[in-house]
Amino acid sequence: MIGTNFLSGANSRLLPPSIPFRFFTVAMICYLLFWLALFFNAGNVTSYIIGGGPMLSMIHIATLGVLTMTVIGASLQLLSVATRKAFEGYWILRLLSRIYIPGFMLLTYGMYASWHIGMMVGAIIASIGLLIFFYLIINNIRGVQGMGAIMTHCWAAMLSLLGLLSFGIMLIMDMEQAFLSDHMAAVLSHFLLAVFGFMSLLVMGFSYILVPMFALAPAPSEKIGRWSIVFNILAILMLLWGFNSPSLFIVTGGVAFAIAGCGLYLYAMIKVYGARMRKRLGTPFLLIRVGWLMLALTIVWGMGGIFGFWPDTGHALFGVLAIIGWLLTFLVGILQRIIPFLSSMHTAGSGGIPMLASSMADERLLKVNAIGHLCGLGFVSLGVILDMDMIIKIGAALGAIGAAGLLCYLLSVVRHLVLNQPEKL
Amino acid sequence: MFTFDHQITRTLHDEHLVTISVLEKLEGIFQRNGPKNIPDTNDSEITSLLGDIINLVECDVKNHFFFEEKHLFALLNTMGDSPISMILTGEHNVIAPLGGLLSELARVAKMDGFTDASWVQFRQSGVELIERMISHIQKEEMALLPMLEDILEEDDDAELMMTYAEMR
Repeated sequence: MIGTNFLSGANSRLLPPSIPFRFFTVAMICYLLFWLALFFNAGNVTSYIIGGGPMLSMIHIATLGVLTMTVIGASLQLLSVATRKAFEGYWILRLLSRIYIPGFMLLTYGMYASWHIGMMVGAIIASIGLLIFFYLIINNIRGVQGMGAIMTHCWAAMLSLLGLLSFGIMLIMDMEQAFLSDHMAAVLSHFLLAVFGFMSLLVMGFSYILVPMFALAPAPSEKIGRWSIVFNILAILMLLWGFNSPSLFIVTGGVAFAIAGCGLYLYAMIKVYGARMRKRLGTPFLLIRVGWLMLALTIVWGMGGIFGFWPDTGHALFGVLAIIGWLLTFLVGILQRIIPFLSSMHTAGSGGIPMLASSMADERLLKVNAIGHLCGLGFVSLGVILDMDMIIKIGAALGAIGAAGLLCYLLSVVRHLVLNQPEKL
Repeated sequence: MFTFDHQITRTLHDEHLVTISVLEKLEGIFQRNGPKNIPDTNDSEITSLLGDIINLVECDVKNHFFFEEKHLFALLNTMGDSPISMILTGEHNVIAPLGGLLSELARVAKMDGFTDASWVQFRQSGVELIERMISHIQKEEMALLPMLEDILEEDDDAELMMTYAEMR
């Protein structure tokens, strides 16, 4: 079984709440900004392929701002609990936030304004932050006994992080110097390593711990997790090779491995969900299940693109399915469960009566978030398919309302944590 | 479902299943009946649920908690894993009186029905109990039971099972 005994001694390995919550707060602000940026850039969504400007900035607000920020906050907290190895100094975790967050802000502003120097400096600063994250994670998972499948996911995700940073910096340099022989292949490689290598593999790895815990279900078998990650690593390697050779045959092989890897992951998750003790799991699991469905659709739609079945807006729909449909939807669902769980662990840890998550914030905000997000996803997808800006704008506005709901919920929880936490935050 | 090899972990897990099932029924009643919509205690579903709550608190909650604190947490403490015992004991201290209050309210409602005030109190206590208990079971299923599976020998398991059977 993967990841059982996860909470043993968790209380003694909880980070100070200010560390994960600073990443979650910035992520939720970026989540709102992303939908607002989508609203104002609705007219460019279907035509954009490459190049600087607001679209590039908007995509990175979603990937580096919401997804990576959430993944950093969650993995710093979860890994130390899962591996039973506490981080040795909190200063380095705080340093990571103080480097990565300003670097990300400068990078996205540089992208927005097509300001090359700003983009380059921002990318270097953000990369230093992410290299600190890489060091922290590798240092924590090195030598861990057991949980082989989860640890392999972490290793593969971290190696993908190195790859995506290299491609990212090369792409920024190439905007000025045009030294890459195939800029588009580098863009595809960067996207693949970021969305499927780094973020999806971390998300999948942590799913094996978090989904059984929150659903009160048995953990999936280690064997399924191992086969899934093996197929997913092979898929990423073959797709990278195929994009850069370029070879449709190799890309097709990569897609076949991706179907097997993601299929096994989804099979494991469906089995976990089906065997849950708690039947009513509320809005977080509605989002999580939609996220799983979107992962399957992303793979199917991606396969259609490789075999030339996409309409003109096909690439935009692929981006919407992968980033908003799969990763954002799934991670927002997980955040809806992690925020109250972590906050209750912190109030329990302070020695008093554990506070109820429902007393810290109005849970109806989670419903507002889920409805806004799912309607946003639906309308934006429809707008992209029909190539109609107005429908994309409606979706973005609904998504922004949903994001504002989750941001309000988070801020209310943070306020209670500050008021009820005797220790220094 | 979970596969626990020891009798004691299987028994505690089965009790968690029963508890979750009763709490989900209670949650269903609360979803259908808001604070101003008092359910009819002559309804067989409500009568049966009130009986389930009384049994749950008397048998599963009280015995279950007492047994864990006296026998299992003590065992974990001697093995040096006290943080999880401290968290779970802290939660027991909140859940047990809350369960006692809900059970008492259920007993009165079974005889005389709910008044406006008693229904509001029953509903508030019930909603809090559901949230606290689910979170508590989550911690026991993810931490306590797997740890016991790891550390218990067959003899310990038989002895603990015997002790628990006598208590029940």
